[in-house]
Amino acid sequence: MRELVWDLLNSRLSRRGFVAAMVAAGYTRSAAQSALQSLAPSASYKEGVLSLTRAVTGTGADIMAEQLTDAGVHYLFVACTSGLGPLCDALVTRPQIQLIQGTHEGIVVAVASGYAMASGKPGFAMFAGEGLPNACSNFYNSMRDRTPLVVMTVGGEGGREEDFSEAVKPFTKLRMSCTDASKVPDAIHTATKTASVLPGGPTQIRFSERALRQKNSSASVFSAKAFDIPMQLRPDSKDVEQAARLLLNSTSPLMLVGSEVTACGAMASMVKLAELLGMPVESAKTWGADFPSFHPMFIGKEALQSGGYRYPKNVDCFVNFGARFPTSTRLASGTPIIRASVDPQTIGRSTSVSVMLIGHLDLVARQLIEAIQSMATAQQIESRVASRRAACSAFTKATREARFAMARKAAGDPIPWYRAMVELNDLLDKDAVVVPEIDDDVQVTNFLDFGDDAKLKIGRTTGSALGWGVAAAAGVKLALPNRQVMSFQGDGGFLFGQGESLWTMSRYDLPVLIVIHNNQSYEIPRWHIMQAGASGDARRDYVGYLGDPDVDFARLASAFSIKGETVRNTDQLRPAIQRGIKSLKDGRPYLLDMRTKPVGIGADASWYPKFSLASTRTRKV
Amino acid sequence: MAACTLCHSPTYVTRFDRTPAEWREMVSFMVGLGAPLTADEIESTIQYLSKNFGSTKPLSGKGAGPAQVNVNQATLGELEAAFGLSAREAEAIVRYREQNGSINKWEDLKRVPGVNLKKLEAKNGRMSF
Repeated sequence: MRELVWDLLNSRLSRRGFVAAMVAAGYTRSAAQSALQSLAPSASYKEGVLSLTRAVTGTGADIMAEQLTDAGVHYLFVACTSGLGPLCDALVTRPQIQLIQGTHEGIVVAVASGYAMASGKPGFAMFAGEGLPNACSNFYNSMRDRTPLVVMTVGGEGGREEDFSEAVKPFTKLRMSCTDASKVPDAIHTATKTASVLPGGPTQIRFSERALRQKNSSASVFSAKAFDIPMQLRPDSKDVEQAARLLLNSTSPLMLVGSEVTACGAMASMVKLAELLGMPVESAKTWGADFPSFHPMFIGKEALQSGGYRYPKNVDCFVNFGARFPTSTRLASGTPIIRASVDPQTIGRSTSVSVMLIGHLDLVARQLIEAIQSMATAQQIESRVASRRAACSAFTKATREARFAMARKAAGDPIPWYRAMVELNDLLDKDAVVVPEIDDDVQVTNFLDFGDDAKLKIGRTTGSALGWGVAAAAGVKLALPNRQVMSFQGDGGFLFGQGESLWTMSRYDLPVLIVIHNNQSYEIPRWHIMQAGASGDARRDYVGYLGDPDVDFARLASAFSIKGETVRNTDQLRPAIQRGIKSLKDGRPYLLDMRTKPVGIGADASWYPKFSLASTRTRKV
Repeated sequence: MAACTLCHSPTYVTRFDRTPAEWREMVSFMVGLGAPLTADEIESTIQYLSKNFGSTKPLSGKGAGPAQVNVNQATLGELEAAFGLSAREAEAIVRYREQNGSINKWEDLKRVPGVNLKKLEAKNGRMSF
């Protein structure tokens, strides 16, 4: 049937011929007619087909470049490999495609993912198949975040037996192979659509170099329209009604929001729903900021409530918009749970759900609001929710003001990190984009003003595999060139091979402020390791301490022709941030090595397992 | 304590005693991470912790406190200064490690003749092997 549809769409088969061939293939005539009708994309069927494709002749790489251009690809993220040769030849006459190079494949995938998350469009990358194992951790991060990526690899004719695609099998929605130049557009179209349809995710196409070098090949490339077919699932109206009734009758509802809210662009609807019901909102582990961080209904991150709820008490209806279960949320047994998601595969797998709302989250929220408003008048709703809305607002105001007052008073050498966050919130643009990769992103959501009309948060990746953030910030800046971008890293995360990402930032003049929250420690692991047991008793920090060698990150940046400085105390903080912002205005990245004070279990222990091989030698060679 | 145990076990709190200034720093850190406390509650929490888990001796901060001394690499002078040993005791340690190889654990030090173990025990926190 696929071939018949393809021939029909390419005018190689008439409508009558299509129906006849379908019947001959065993379908009923009515089924064939139905299929024919569903294939008509517009009133003018023939025009529709013609507008979706155009003929191209050239090498396989020429066809690839034409297809990428028609798909709207401007940036192609690459790592060097000789297999890129045919594409380089094709680009000589196609300057519309800008290559952005990373120094290895893991960085390339992170840059592409940052670009995709910030732009809402798929990120396209290309490198050697042998590079796939290098890129595994960032493939994993992208799959966890459901980021639309199309990763094209080249190679496979060099006599190697390994199928490197196997390395990324668990972290891709689709893997395919293309060995024929005429099939290049099909492969790119399929992979792109698959990556983009919610829930998104990485796809991988393995091209043979021979196919890309194949001369005088003909193919039909797809127009941008063919990539832009809306796929917005609508929830079942009866399910929406049931959920609306549960929420309306609840005396203490609680809403959890997760990454799908940001992926669906549904934050405004979430706010409307929460305000309508006076419903407290908490955030799951997420790569976005799915609810305005300073909103009166926002009570913080769900993980903070894992021991039970300080506020609200006695939750009697829990609604989860776009966060994965299981969560660390603690609910009383039998509490009704409403679950809304675009991904039916995640619903009901580990948690007993009362109502499932499968659909695009913005549509779900809008329909839920309509249903609630149809069941009660505005006055009736208000009489039920006014007191809890006031209570939630009072709670968030008091705790937020206390947090900021505490942070503003803090001072010292090294810097208390919370003081640094207050300064950053004051000095960064109101609509700056922040790309965090630190232990827990509450460090940014508790102090920076995120929202639709405020700052934008992209990261930390929910995969949490370190070695993503700096490169991702480069991709974010490419997607949003006219917004200020800050990469916020721990020193430990930066040392996961992220220095090389500075190469890409420097090479392409990507004005990103790179702030390293340098407490010379993997702090959270140190707490976990030393909180009980012999190493804690002996004050021995076996793997957390990073102060020896005392890495000079500003000097590291200078090796990539990026200016930077070490910020040691709170007096130096504001001027240093201002110098960084000035550098961004001048078009260059800037690095702040912000020396922060380690706190908590083991912070006082400077012991680590010293070893010097040099001192054990019997020959000084 | 109820605000603390929303996120972590009480061990995180009770593991080490701290001075009031250190408890203020720790509570500020936790409030920064999201511990849901009002201004009054922050103060009462610091007072409670200082009273029940207080210390007059500060835990030394990284970079601010005395450095670790490796007993296998330290010179005679360093051993004397770091552990309050006499010149003779320091010489005994150096002689022991030259004759027997590296000192790998506390138990090994007990075998060094002529060293006052109580002096070493008092400075155990600075010792590395």
